[in-house]
Amino acid sequence: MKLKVLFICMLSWFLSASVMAQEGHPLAGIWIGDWGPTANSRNFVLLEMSWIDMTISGNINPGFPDAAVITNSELNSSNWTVHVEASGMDENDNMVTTIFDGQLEDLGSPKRTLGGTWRQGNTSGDFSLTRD
Amino acid sequence: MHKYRSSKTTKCTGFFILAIIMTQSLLAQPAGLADPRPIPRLENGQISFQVPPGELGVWNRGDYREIIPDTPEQIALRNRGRVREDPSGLKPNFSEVPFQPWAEELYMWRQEHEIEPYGRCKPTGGYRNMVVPYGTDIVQVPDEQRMYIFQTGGSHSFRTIYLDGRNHPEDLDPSYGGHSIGRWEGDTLIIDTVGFNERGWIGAYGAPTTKLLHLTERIERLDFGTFTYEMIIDDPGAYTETWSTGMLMRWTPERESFQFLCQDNNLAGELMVGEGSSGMDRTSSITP
Repeated sequence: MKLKVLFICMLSWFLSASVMAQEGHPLAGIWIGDWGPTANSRNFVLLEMSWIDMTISGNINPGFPDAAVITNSELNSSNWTVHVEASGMDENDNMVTTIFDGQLEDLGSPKRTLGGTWRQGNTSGDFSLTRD
Repeated sequence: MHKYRSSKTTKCTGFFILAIIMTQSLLAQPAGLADPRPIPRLENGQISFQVPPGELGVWNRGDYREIIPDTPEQIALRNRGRVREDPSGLKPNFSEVPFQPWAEELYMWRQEHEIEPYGRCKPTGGYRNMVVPYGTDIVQVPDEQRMYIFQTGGSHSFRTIYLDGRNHPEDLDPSYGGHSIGRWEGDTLIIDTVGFNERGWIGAYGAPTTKLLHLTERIERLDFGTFTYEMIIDDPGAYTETWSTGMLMRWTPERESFQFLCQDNNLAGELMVGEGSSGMDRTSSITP
């Protein structure tokens, strides 16, 4: 687990050095946090999002066994809510769908936050991410 | 109630009105009368934007806005209720700007949350590189085929515009001011800039941009004391079409750019947090 956290931090540093978006599209950039069904059961999340061709694209935990690719996304800028769907494979090569709905907060900050509900496969919970 | 004023009152009123008219006509003059000298040129014949030899002076912005509000609600935000004319005639109304939905909402959000990167001592490009406190200094170096735009107020930064015919690098490192190349079309200077890093605003009022921003600036000196600055924004990441804005830049004699170090003694703390005197919400946490 510690190794994974260390790797995520290193990956985050590497990716943020190449992306570095702060004042462009509010979702673009690297987001770090966690999700889980309870306060004591959490899973680290590294979310990378880009705004290309009028579409929010990106990856969840790229390079990890639980990696997923964003397949559908929507930003409602009238209230700054976000809906994202992503697909990945589990250890048995079964497709796992992740869906999260969040609220963007602290919009003007480079360290803005995104939080809400998260469902991955059959497990539901909440999530909290901070833009790195 | 008197239907007519006495002759003494009428005389006093006449003097008072005359005094007002004379005062207004005097006040209507700019700080100095329009300088009648011809537009200066460099030895190579190009228009000069530099300080004339042996003189002092800087260029000052017409006003900070890149977009004119349409509605009373918009005016009440950053304009604090004031309605001001646009003497340049180059600024679009809000409704004319082809925002993508997220960019429009973000722009409006920024009118209420005044947390501009410039106020946090970040370097700037484009329009915001010109509209700074204390004036802008333009230095042309024909021998090196380049020019520099120095801003006084702000992050003590400058832009280099290459006039040697080079293209933008293919493998460009994004930066606050982007990579600028210039050319002359007659007496109009055209500056073409790409490679912005999305970490600054191109204007003080926060029109959003993305890394797809391709900026074209047109600078045309109208007379000794004035040039027009027009900025054409091509950013398919934030707008559905190309749009433009601009302003008049005025020559301010007897002033000189000086060593302003925003980073050293930032007095804009009240612009970043708290409500301040304007009542705006600036409570978002920020990273200086």
